[in-house]
Amino acid sequence: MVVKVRVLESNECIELEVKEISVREILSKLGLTLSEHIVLKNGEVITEDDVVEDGSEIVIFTVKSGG
Amino acid sequence: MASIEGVFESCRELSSEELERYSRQIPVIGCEKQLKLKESSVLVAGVGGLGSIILYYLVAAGIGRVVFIDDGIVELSNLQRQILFTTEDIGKPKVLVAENRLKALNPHIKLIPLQATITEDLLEKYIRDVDVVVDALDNWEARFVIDKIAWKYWKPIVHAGVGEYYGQLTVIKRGVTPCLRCLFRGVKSSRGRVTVLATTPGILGLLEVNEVFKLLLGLSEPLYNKILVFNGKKPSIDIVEIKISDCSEICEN
Repeated sequence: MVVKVRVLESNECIELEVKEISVREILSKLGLTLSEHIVLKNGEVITEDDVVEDGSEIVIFTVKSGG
Repeated sequence: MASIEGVFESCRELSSEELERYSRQIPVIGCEKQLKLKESSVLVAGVGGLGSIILYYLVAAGIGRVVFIDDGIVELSNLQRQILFTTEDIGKPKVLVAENRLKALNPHIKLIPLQATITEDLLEKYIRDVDVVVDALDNWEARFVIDKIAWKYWKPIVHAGVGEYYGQLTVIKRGVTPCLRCLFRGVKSSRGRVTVLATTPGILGLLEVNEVFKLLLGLSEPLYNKILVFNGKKPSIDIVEIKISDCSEICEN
C-alpha cells in the first residue's frame, strides 16, 4: 500500500504508506503550498480534493507566477 | 548542400543590410525561414524580466512585426533583470523606452507599443492579427485573459512564469493541448513582490523565444503537453509530460 511521490524541486522520491490520500494531505505532509504547485497523478493534473490511491505515481513541481 | 554564397544569392527579398545583419543566422535556418521571420507577427504581453529579453531577441532575430503591452513605468528595482532599461529611464513608460531601444537595435522591425493594462477588449483588437502570443506576465489573472482570447482565435501561447531560482515553460494550442486555465487550475499569484534571481527570467525568456522560433519555422515539435521545469539552483531542467482527459468545461467558457 504505497503512493510514490516525486518532488522535482528537491529531487526527492518519497513513499507514503497509505491506502488513499488527498492531494491536500500530501502537500501538507510535505510542507508545500497548493497555490504554487502542480500535482500530477500518472501524468494527469489533479487538484486539492482529488484522492490518490495506492499504486499511484505522483509528481509535484513548483509553478511560479512572476515575469 | 548549398554553399553559403548560394544561400545568400537566393535571398533577393532581403536588402543587403539585412543580409549582413542576419549573416550568422541565414546559413543556419536558410533564406526562406529568415523571410518567414520577417513576415511573422508576435504579441508579447508584459515588458518586465521575461518581456525584456524576449523582445530583445525577437527584434534582433528579425521578427517582422512585434506588438508589446505593459502599463508600467521603469522603476529602480526593475534594473537588476530588465535588460531593456537603464538608470536614466526611471519614471518613464516601459513600452516607450523599449520602443526606442528596440528601434535602435533593429530599424527593420515594425514595433507596436501599447501602454495599457491587459483586457479582453484590448486583446480582441490585436491577437487576431498575430501568429504567436508570448506570455511574459507576472500574474495569473492577466494570463487567463490572454488565454481566453488566444483560445478564441486559435493562436498559440508560449507561457513561462518565474520566481526565485525557478521557472516553468509550456506551449498552449487549441486543438492540441489544454488551455492555460485548465492546466494551471488551482494556482494563484504570489502575494507581495515577486523575488527572483536576475538570471532566471533571462533563461526562461530565451527558452520562450526558442519556442516562438519552433512554432514559426516548424523546426521541431513545440512543448505541447509538456512542461519544462527549470531549477537554477542545481541547475536542472525536467520535462514533465501532461495528460489531460477533459478540459472542455474550463477551456470553452
